[in-house]
Amino acid sequence: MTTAVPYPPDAPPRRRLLTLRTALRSPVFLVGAAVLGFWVLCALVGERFAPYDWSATDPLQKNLSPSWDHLFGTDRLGRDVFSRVIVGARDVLTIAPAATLLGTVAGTAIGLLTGYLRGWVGQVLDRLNDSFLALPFLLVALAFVAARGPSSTTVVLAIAVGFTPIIARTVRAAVLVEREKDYVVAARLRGERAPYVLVAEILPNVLGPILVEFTVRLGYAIFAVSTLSFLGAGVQPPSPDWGLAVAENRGFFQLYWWPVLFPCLAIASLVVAINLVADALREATA
Amino acid sequence: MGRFLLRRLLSAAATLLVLSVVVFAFLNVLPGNPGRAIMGNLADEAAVQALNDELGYSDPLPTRYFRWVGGVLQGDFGQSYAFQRDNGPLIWDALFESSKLALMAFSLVVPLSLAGGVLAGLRKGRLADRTISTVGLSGIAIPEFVSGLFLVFLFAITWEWFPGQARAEEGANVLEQAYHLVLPSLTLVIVLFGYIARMARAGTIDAIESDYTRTATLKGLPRSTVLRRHVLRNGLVPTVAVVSTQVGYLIAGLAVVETTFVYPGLGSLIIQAIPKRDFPLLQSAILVVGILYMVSTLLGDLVTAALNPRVRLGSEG
Repeated sequence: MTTAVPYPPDAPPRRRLLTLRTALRSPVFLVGAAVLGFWVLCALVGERFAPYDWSATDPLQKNLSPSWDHLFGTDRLGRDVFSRVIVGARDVLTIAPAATLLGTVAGTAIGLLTGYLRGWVGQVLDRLNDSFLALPFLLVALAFVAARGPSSTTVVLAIAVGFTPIIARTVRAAVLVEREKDYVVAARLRGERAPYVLVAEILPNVLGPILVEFTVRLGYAIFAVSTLSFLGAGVQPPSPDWGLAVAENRGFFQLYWWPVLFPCLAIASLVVAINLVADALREATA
Repeated sequence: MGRFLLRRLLSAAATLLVLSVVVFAFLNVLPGNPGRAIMGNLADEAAVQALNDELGYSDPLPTRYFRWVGGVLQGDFGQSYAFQRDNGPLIWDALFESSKLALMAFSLVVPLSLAGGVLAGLRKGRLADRTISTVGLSGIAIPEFVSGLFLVFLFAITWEWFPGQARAEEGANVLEQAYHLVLPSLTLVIVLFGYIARMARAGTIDAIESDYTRTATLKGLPRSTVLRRHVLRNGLVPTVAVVSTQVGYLIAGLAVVETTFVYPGLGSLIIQAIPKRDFPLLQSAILVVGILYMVSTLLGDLVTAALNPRVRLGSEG
């Protein structure tokens, strides 16, 4: 015996960190992170760098096709589409992370409880979860928005409510595996109470799947925010949000394609970027 | 098989019951007032109250819940505020239109994605696999209205091959209708391809790496026989279950696709009912979606069970 065995023995933390680091160096991750970083930057300081004021209308300059003056053209109110696309990252990149975080926290709490507690509490929560999962997520969100009326807060809550059972299921599955392991049994035999075992022992060991689920859900949250805005059930005018911009200009798509196509490209690049990051993380922790 | 079926039916019924309570609670406990929604902001309070009474909105919640569920069980889906019609025919007509679109999308996507997934599985890690996996992933990630509008931009505006609106003229024949449904179906195909292909790929890889495939190969069977009789037959079982759960997704996806292509299906009916706060229509339509989803999941489970005795006889996981 020369060195102490690191604890927990079945998951040496140093190796885990190393695989994570190599995965984060993969080109797929880097491309995704670069595009994501660009949009985050746009959301934070885009307003200062946009060539025009995103909200300024100009009746003499409406429906101009793309040119050097207006890279992406102008919309039906004469607003610069390029500036609106830049600033349009702001709403979606505020709402989606907030909703995902809320759903992850709530889902983790429920997942920990249903995975660890046997007996009727776990069973009742499980049944409720199943019936939620039986509905397509977008419909749950739409019903919620229908009941409360569209606003940014409603969208955050709607998406969080929709995500909670999905994340709870992932966390529950991970907890079911962990609870049988020696370190949990040891803690229980030591006489630790359930809250301590859950938070101090099990939670740190299921953070990996939670992180992966978070990034995957974040991609879907952006999908959902744009879709709700597109359906008129999300962010409201005059926000330059991409989904909303598409909805507002869609009627004239055949004549003026630029105020529709550029926000579409922005949405596509953002969701694909986040999915690349999520995929790299999933492979690193797998 | 009988006991398995019974158990699944009971659990589906229990989930539906909870579902109806959840949908009802969502739409009725939260603030909102149909009388006000119908009569507008200018109507006076007494008139709004009278209309609420007439619609039965002033009754206690449990009464309203049981009236609704009791009606649905007898085939009465209530009255729509916005359309001033019975919900039943509204929902069934819309569902009929939606199923045309869904049928077309499914008949395109199932063969395509199975072929793509199996090919990716057989060439695991090679270029074909990486291309198919990346394309599939992007298709899932991008919202339907974005990919739909890309398709419209390319095929309806730039090249003018297909119409950009899904609705054929009144009395158009089947071919004409199918022609109008090409772009919306392709939009759904883009999204569904990734899911189904990913499952088919995983199943194929599992089957290739299994002992029975090794045995079959070592026994000296020709490669095509090994693939057909051992790899595909086992590898595609999990995919069946996924195809059936996609029906539920399909209906939500339809809401967006139908709105994008201006098509009068169940999805766009629900979307139209939301700003009008047409709660009776919404709760019944959403319940119908839930029922459809349960039925398709159940069918998928039954097919899986029929194909795999371990699921049928063993305990449910």
